[in-house]
Amino acid sequence: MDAVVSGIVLAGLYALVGQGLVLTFVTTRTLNFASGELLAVGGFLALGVGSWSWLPTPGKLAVVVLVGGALGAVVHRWLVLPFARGEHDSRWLLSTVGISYVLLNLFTNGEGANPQRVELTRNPGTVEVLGVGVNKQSLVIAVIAVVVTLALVAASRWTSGGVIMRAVAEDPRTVALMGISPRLVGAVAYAAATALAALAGVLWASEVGATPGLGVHVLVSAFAVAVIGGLTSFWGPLVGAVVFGVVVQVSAYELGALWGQVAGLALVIVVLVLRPEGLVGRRMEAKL
Amino acid sequence: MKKFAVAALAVASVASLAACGNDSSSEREDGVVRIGLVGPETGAAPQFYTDLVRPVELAVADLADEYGLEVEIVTVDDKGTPDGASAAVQQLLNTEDVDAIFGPPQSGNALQVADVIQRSGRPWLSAALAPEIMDESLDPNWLFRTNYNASDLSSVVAQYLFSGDSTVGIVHSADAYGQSGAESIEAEAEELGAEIAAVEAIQPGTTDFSAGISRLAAAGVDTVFLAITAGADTATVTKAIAQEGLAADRVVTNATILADFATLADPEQWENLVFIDPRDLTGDTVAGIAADYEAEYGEAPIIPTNVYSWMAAVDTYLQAVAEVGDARDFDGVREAMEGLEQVSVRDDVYEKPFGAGDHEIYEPEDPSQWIVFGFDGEGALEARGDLASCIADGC
Amino acid sequence: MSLVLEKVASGYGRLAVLHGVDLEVPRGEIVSVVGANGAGKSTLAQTISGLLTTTAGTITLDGTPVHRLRPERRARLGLVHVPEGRRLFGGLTVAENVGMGRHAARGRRGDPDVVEHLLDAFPRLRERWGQRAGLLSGGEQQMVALARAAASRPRYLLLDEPSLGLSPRLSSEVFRLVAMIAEETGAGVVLVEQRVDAALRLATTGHVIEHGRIVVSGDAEELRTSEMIRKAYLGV
Ligand SMILES: Nc1ncnc2c1ncn2[C@@H]1O[C@H](COP(=O)(O)OP(=O)(O)OP(=O)(O)O)[C@@H](O)[C@H]1O
Ligand SMILES: [Mg+2]
Repeated sequence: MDAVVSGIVLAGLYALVGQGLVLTFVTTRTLNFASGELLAVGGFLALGVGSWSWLPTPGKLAVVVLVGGALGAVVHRWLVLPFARGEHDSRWLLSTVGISYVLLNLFTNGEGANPQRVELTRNPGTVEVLGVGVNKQSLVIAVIAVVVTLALVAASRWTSGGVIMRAVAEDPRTVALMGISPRLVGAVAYAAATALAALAGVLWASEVGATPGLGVHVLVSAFAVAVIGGLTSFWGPLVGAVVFGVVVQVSAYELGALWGQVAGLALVIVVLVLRPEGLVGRRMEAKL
Repeated sequence: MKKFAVAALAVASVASLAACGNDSSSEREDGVVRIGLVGPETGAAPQFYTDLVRPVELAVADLADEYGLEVEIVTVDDKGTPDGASAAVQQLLNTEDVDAIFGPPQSGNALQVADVIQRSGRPWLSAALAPEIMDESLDPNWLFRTNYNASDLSSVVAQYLFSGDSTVGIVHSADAYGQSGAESIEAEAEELGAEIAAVEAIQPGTTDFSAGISRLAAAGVDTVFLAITAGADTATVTKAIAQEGLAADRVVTNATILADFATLADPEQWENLVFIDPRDLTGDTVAGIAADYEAEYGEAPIIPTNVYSWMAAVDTYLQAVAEVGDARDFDGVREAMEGLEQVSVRDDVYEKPFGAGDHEIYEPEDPSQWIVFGFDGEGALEARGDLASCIADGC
Repeated sequence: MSLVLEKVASGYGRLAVLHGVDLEVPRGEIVSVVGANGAGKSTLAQTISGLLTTTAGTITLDGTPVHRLRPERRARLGLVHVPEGRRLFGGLTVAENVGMGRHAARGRRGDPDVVEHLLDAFPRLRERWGQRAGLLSGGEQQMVALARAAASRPRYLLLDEPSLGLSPRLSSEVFRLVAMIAEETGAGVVLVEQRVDAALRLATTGHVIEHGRIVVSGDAEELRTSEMIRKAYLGV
């Protein structure tokens, strides 16, 4: 029971970042491998705006999220679009991995590797959930992840932007024939994804401090949950995160802490072999 | 055409050689003591470089006049890598022709250059922790360590951990540092005939460690040893201890925790956290150093223990040079360091710290030399007492 | 007012397919382009709508050069392409598919919207309105494609083999609706077809394309009835 509850709560952070991966994958069939460092950017931005005493906390959060969104659009325009010129062009992989190293080095040289305390959105302490003590901040993040997931699912079903996104997922060329720029859709998706990463960065940095490597470990797990759940559905990261979190925690409790991570990644491989589209993902329809 | 190209190339290379000669090996001036500092100015852990250069500058400013010496400091970047360290040390020895080498601060890099420096036959001062760097059987041995070494610390920590009726568990980082830390405590336990109830590893950057802690609790652990590389991971572990309600009387870690733990964790998590260090970190000397450091550089020391160790190194070296009267008499300086009556860091004095077969400043055999530190309710460091009294009466 | 192609060339990467195509499509007229398999008909349609890059020559829409614009810009100007195989969004409902078509009409509210008339003429789509388009029959899907195009308020409509895969009865139904859209919107229509006879019956002007070149152009009725042309180019 302990393991299950803490696994579910732990899953929130990964689901939040995984949601960004789904957003870009669905719309552009690309993934931003620099998401981890952009998450760290969120942490450092929180440090920066933390000293603006004239701005209330929601305003500061908004600044971080907006700057994150703008960075996402920049990444899309300069690092993804030029390197994803068709189905067989995977250079975006190298360009985003490349920028992630560049950012990591820049931050390490500029800010040092030591964690810096972030006060924005800090929720210290633990609370009881179903009789199990859980970390307050993790719980906040989990709740936000659920809200974001519901919002994305609702938007993709019932808003015209959501319809466009589903159409782009199926067939971006034909969407262009409808007078809609698939590149713009991609840019918006990258902006939203990076805004989510920045938000996750603020929340997580408030817990463990801002470091250049803040997102490295988180991104690995976010990939895992997105793959497990399925990169083509907004339910994917949440479902994947819960399954991943519970498997990680239960094996950690039963076999030892280090085995949790191993079991989680082994689960990714099992899913890739048995159900490559993920637990709730759709098989990609024959297209293009 | 071809001839022209060859000629151009030749001219270019001569020009670049000349340029090299000009800026790097500036003329040695007679009578000036030339200290070479090597550390990771760039790379993952630049704080080790910063807190090598700054304390040396501060100590030299204090001591050069006192000993009547003129001192010049040369710094090179080892980029935080063993390769970088090799290149940097070559540069210090060959191009810069320094009289003594301080650093590299990181153990792996120090290990990489140990042979080269020993063969060069120049005084070498180190604050790196790895026991392997020091080979006291060498004759002559050029290395003097002004910090404790990790295996001595382990033996001291083990004395504390296994005192009384404790059930000990270990949490270590799943990296080289954490593993060797855990192994050395396990080895000490074996020597003492004591049991370790549980060992758990934490992946650096892990977001939740409640599972590991609940396993320690299940094993009945009441005394925890942490061998953890990053302060953020220490915070994750202590958070899990609070969250899982593990009733640990003592959580023992080491001084690396000072680097960033206190800025991250909340007071409830430091309550029974202690570490053991031979330096009086809450004393006036350390406070005075911190004040001067902050006045000079605008921030508090990043790694206070390293700052202290490098200041001890400066006193060790300059005192010996002053005694011999010539920094180029390397053998003489080495023997003078072995024979020093005392080494001081400001008001802290170490009597006869070195000897012919003893190049380590601290000794593990005497528990009264080591101090147990913890944190008070505000998270400020406080000394709980020396190890001998802590073991005898608890503290 | 017309859609004019002058010496247009294009292809796929290094493979040149169209070689100097000239074509004029006046508003309100149906122009049919016929030719054998692989002649370059779909390539032509995709070049006009911008899915393929024009490598030489010009395309003007009512006097505005459009051959350098991205496909979405051309669609916004009223150049509407119903691609070969319909390319509906199978996971979207009929309503959402038609709604996607409306995006291209943004800013051109003045042009007539004939979606309602189309639905009256083919009421089965109303019954399927909330269903996923991927689950419809071929004929129904083609009607959705037409409705989606009509929702874009076309000024020029490119139809690539709208009768593909349909029974003769459904094909003539499709052709009837194409004629209706052309008449009510006043759009110029480029009708690419393999059903030569039906296509030329609908059109005023006909063009025969072979190996990426227009080899014969003329009055649709004359082309349709000329034994020589049917034998030489169309293999019928
Ligand atoms: N995506 C593509 N890549 C490379 N070559 C292509 C591609 N699509 C078509 N072609 C080639 O271009 C030429 C013209 O093809 P196109 O599809 O325009 O013919 P079509 O007249 O529409 O034929 P059909 O009646 O079969 O639809 C053919 O030789 C074809 O092989
Ligand atoms: Mg075709």
